[in-house]
Amino acid sequence: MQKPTSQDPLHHPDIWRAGQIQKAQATQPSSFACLDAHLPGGGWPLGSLCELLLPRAGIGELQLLAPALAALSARQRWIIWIDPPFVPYAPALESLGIDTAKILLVRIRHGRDQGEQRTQKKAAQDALWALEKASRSGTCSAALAWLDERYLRPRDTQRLQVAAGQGRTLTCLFRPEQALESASMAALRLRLEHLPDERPQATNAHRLNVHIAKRRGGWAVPNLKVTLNPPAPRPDPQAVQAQLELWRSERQQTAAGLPLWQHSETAEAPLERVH
Amino acid sequence: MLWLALHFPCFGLEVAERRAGLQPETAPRILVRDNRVIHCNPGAKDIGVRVGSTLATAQSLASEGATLEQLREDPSQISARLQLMASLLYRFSSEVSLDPPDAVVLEVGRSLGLFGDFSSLEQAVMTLCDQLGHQVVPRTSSTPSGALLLARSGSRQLAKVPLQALPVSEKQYERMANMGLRTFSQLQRLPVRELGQRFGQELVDYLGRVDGRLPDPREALVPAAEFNESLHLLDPIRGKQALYEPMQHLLEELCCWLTSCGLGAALLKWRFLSHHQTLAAHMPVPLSKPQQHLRAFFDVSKLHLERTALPEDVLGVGLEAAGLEVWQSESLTLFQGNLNDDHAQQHASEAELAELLDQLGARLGMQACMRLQSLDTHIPEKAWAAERKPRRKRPYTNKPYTNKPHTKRSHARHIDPRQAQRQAQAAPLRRPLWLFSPPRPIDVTQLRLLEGPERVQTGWWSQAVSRDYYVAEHTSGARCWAFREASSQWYLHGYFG
Repeated sequence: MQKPTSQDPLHHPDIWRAGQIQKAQATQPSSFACLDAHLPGGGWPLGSLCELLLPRAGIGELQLLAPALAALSARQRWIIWIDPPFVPYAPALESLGIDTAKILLVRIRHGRDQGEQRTQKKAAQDALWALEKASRSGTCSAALAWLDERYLRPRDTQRLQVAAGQGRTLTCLFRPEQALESASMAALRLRLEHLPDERPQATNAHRLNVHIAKRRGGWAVPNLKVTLNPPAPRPDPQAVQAQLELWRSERQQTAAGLPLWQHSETAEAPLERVH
Repeated sequence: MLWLALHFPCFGLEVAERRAGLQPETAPRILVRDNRVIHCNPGAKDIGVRVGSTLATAQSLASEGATLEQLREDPSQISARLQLMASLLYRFSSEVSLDPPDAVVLEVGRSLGLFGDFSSLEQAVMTLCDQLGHQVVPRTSSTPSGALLLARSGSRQLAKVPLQALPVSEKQYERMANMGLRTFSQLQRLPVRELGQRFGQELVDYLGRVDGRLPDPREALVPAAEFNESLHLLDPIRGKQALYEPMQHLLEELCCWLTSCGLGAALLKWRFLSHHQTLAAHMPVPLSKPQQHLRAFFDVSKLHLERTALPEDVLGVGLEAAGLEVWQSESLTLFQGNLNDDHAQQHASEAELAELLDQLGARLGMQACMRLQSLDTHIPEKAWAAERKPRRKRPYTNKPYTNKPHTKRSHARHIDPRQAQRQAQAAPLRRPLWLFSPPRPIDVTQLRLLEGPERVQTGWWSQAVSRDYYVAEHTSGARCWAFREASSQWYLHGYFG
């Protein structure tokens, strides 16, 4: 038996490091190199619950997932979206290579059920049930869900984690940033943050700052800078800015002109039509 | 020709038990016709009840010990059940004929090629009968009458069949016994002409059919064109959970029937009866794709049942299958169910995909499930559509679905090829992943414009749209898609989320 040396105790054959365990789980590369390097198994986990914590919707969370979704949509399985906050726009999804025929959209909170309006609690329960069912069934390659935070308990995340493992589904939960403080059984938790452009005048890169708040087999990793679109030179920034200045001045004029018309409620409409 | 006869020795009792929703038990139970016992279960035999004894005798035997359960025979139920059994056995042979009241005979010689050998076929037949809850005695012979005679008598050799099993009258049987005839072989050895003179031509014809000397045409069964079954319960059922068992019974039969006919059902019509056979509740269960397997039907039916209002007491459950279509079976992978198999992990069968859709629709309402579709128009909010109805014609294809109008195609012929090339080389249009519907008004001072403008304008003949679209960054950091209308009002139309 090899004798442990004081220089390198970690090479002792009895010692296993957490990072060595992760090889077994199937993953889908995210196609963002700096993110893949730190995600366990080198990509999004297929068969685990993954939480994306956002300060607000629309900062680039879908673009972060899009390459993986495009690869998953080639499989004969559903990609289910449960209660998305806005309409997932089919032409844009297709332009990113996602097959929209595989997308199943489930609207519970916003949809009405044959005239009967669901109570919020019932809707939350239904959404959770639908997500668990879809994850567990093994017929979904990915399940994306926006659940009602008020009714989401830590033990629900455990059920979702187990269901995702059974169905080998990439289950993504989109949650507000504040949820980072509450406990969750998700195997992977990422906090996303908008990253201002370094050279706003030259390029229009759309960038995200991704913090891995929790992962299996490793410590948290802060500050992974991900560029969502390849940086391209901005098309004639002067012209666009000039145009913007024009609109701004128009707007100011309108605002300045407003008090004169304030006594009449319908004043704004004809004024707007002039310009 | 190889004929397989199936005799169900306790058929009448089993049908009566099923109709009453009872489980086969060891407690004494008898079936009664005209105050005579015509079937008794092992429990009844133990206390001394015999087939043929009067009801009074049976009751006096029972009074000493346990209570005796009496069931009344219902000939119409028995013949209906036999018909159903025959139609379920249709999967083993194309020539199935009934031999009322309690036997079925099928020609299996030509089916052996499909099932491999006789023992595996017999095993499959026995398993099916067992699933349906019937005891069965199978016997084979080269003639249908011979096979039936063997099955009814229970003996293995035709020569040793006792003469009671022959379809002859009591008087004739007595005469044979007086002549010293006990077994079938003794009867066969007698000269035919003299036998005919003493016992009539009918017996001679019958012997000829058993031997195969005379033709024995049988009316082959034509499988029922529809499935409409019901179960009647003795005790009223109150809870919905308690209904699962009778529902599963009916579904098992439906699945057997569907497989034997090679059909799939896309609509189940459940009905629940209350007192006096009045219809209490209807429960249609639509499926997005014709299905054939129990699991698909049962799970969705359970979810629908939760949403259905039932009367307090349910005394009967009925099931009708509708929306029947020819079943398109799918080829399974060689290593189905092996989790390490890459294909099984990555793909699900169409039936499974439809199953999830049905289950979600059953609990959340069919309106909640939608599928996305992109349309070929340049007006952004009209370039997508949500499809609520499941796609029947081209389901689950890999190609993205595009709905191109014909006029567009004819127009495309006149496009200058150089222009088309230039368009193809141009960068694809920037479109947001999140769309707001309707667009939200916004103050332009909150935006920093990055790209644009892209003008979107419609013709005078349709709803006038004239907008300049910009890619912009909101002060909060969100990448937006904003437009300015001709009225100089700014709107937010989406996020590049």
